[in-house]
Amino acid sequence: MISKRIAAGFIALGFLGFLDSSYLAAKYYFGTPINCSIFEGCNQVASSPYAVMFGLPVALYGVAYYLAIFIATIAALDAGSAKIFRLVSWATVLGLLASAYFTYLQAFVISAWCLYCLGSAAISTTLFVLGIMARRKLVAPTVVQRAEDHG
Amino acid sequence: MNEERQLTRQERRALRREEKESGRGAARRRRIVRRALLWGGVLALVALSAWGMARFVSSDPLNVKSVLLDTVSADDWVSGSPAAKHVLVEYSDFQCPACGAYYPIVKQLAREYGDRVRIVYRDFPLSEIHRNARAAAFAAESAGKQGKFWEMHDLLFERQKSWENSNDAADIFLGYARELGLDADKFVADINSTEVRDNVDRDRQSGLRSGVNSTPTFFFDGRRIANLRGYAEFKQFLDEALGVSAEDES
Repeated sequence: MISKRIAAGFIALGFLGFLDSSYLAAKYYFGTPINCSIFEGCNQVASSPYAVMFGLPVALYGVAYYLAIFIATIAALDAGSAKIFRLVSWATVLGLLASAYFTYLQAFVISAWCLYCLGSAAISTTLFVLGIMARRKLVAPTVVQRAEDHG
Repeated sequence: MNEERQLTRQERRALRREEKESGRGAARRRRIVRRALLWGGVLALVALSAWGMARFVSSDPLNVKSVLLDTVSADDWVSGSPAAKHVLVEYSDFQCPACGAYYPIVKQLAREYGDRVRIVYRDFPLSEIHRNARAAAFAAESAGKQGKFWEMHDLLFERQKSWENSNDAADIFLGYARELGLDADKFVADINSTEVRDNVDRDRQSGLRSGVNSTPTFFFDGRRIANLRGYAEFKQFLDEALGVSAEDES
């Protein structure tokens, strides 16, 4: 069964992540030159060679990822498809791995922090946790029934 | 009689099926409308937020609403003619790469507009992320004590890469002081003096009061301006600003 609450979490966080990474992507394409900031980390992060992957800014992959989570969850609810929902829940592993890698880069390679990148990492981690919960809920009904039988 | 009853039952069944089907058709139409609304809404939301974000990020640099609270005083490091009517105040950090990138731009502006615009340098070392930023600010202030603030300022920016991550920044700065022909003993004593430290802290405090949270931050005639891209944009901005005020005066 698809948990409505977790699905709502996916949709909300997916949208939040979409806003966050589209801000970074927009900043990359038409922002004013990035400056050194206590809060945003230095231009080191956004202007480091790690900010671009396969010719596209990393932020753009983030936009695609969060948008996919957002849209696929709505599609899963719309079609009542547990299959799509399960797929979304597994996709969050991808986001977690990517975020872990980018956080590692900021901490140990670039040695500068970018607030919006950290925000994205937090969102991805929460999505991953929700993903675990979602998969549990998908098999949960039988478990609950059994528990009720015993009780 | 039995036959008749069966007939009516069949008829009834057919009738029911018919009703059901027409009901199903209506339900399907409703579902299609609902889905169209849902996906249309989703599409509109995504498109609108993408558009809004692009607009927000590329917004007009002059729309930044922030005012410089501390006006230029005798304590400030000023370049340009004292008779100049306009003031460009820069809050900067010697270790900040972006400040380093702006350094040649501001220098060029000082050359070109020095007669009309005074350029003020204020320290805003981001010591949280730049380990040698404060030491560099002290070095420039101390050089200033011997009348060579701007010379040290230039050296620090020009050679930023060679000291930014160094463990021996203090020695490197002392080397610069010698290069500029400063009294080395006095330079070191000044670096450790509370007066120099207070000057740097005072600059930073004044920046915080005016809402500075990144470097470089520029204020033109007391109003904050977003960082312009390159010399050409800065020149265009100044030409417009000076042109407008020239019209005001005439």
